[in-house]
Amino acid sequence: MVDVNTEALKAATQNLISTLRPIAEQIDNLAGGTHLDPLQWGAIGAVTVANNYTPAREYQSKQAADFVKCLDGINAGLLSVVLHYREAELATATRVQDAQKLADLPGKIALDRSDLETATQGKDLGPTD
Amino acid sequence: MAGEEAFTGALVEGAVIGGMKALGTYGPAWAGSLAKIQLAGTLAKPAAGAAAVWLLAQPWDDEAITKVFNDWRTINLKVAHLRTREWDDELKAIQAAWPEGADRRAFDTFMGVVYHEVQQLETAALQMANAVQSAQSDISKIVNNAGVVVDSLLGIIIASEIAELIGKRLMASPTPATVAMGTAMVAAANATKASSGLLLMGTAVNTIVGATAAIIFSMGNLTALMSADNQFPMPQANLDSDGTDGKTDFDDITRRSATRSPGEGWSYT
Repeated sequence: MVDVNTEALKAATQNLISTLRPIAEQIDNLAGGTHLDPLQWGAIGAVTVANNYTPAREYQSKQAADFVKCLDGINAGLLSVVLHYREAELATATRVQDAQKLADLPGKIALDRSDLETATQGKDLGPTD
Repeated sequence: MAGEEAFTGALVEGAVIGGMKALGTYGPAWAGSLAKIQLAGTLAKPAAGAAAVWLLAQPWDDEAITKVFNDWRTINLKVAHLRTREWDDELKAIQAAWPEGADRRAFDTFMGVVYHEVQQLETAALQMANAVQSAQSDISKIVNNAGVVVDSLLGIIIASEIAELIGKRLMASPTPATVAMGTAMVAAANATKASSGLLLMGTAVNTIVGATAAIIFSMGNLTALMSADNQFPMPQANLDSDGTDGKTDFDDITRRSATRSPGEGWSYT
């Protein structure tokens, strides 16, 4: 029997996302604002900047945006892990007739489900790996 | 870092660079007005050409470039903060609540990939900042250098103009010896003017070549950042799969190992 502390795992997940996501969002916003018109470099620098800076900027800006999506994915993934273990916990409780857990778990599972739904709703489901 | 080298160079050359900057700013205007006054016919064309090059090399929005440098630097610092100050604590809290098994190991591996990507983003942001800064300081340095060379040459040309003027006055003298001296002065002044005009054109060409080479050198390494195959993995798309579709996201492995014996708790494979 593996003892997964679902309550602590959920708290840690929420903590992780509330700490890391705002920083990732700031990074994304900053990277989004780094556009430079080639002409801002003067006529001589314009072509080089257009060929080198602009594509590199777009790539890194996309990376910054993807980091936010990746964190959303980690959040949803961890919440699905929590939900899964909670369901397994309920199965065990049903088997051993643990009255307290039987009363407690269905409510928590319902909350987990809605949290997972919120975590995936409206989020960009990008390609895997 | 090239930006620092430029800075050190500026320190070493001290007041000279300061003077260069001032001359670089006011020089072309001076050249333009001199060309208009027609102090010398030989002066007008190279002066106008040099002023045009100075304008072409000049970054038109230096403040926007500085802002972009600051943005990349801030991104670098924020990613570094996230990676070194926050990442481990958050990860440890999750690992403490989730005992190690196949699924936890899959999660750890996954987070290892993400961590690597975070590191790459951090390095890339620093490289973007450095490239922008070097290109900016290279352009400024070249513009300033071109400015001071143009101004020195204009100084020589003006001096020879004055010499020519005095020479012409001397030629009007009734004394033959003074006339001969005046003729020699005018000839020398004209020769100096012509050679300075050529130097001025040479400087203009060097400025174009130098500025272009400097920017290519500063910005060229940015293309390497795109060719690296780095992308953040995204587990979202796989949330509904049962782990048998060959995509090994960390939540899939949970399902596979934990449904093995639901009636008796569960065990890891």
